[in-house]
Amino acid sequence: MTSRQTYDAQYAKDRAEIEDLMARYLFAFDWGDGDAYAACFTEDGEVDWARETTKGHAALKAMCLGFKEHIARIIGNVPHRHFVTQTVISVNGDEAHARAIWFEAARHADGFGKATFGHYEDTLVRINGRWLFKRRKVYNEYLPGRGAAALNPVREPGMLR
Amino acid sequence: MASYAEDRAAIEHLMARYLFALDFFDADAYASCFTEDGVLD
Repeated sequence: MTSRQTYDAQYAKDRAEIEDLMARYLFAFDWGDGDAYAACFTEDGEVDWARETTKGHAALKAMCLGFKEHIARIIGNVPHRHFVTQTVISVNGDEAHARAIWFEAARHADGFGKATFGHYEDTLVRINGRWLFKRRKVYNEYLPGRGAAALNPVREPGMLR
Repeated sequence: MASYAEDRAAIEHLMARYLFALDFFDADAYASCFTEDGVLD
């Protein structure tokens, strides 16, 4: 049986900082800001997404820059944004686990384009007072093999009730 | 007494757990978001 999340001043502080990190991550990613993107991670941080697992700051920065080009090739040079919505954040000392829903959309010539969506499964650590992603796994409902499993992701180990 | 920031954090967490439970058809987790006499209108 999983333990219960403690709701106190520390949780409120940690949650606020982690939400801020999640938002900074998306601004960095959507603007192709490779340095800001990599800075969201620990030195050995990694992202497991559709194409591969990318690990370490140099590779993360390159992947962020590459994604911008990749999107431009697929949809052209139109504004494209990711959005993170509900965030379930479990904090246990200097480690946190999070589950959050994301979607992405783009503005095409004929209006706001179709959206894809999925969820994130995150492991975060606090190092020298800063929360950073240690591992982010990106699920994507539009990609075969990358959709969510049937079990509520919030139920998984590490996620306090 | 909890601060506004603490209450807000706890409530945002609850709202997020509610939606994950709903979208993944997790009935126990869904019901546990409510008081015993909780109402959905």
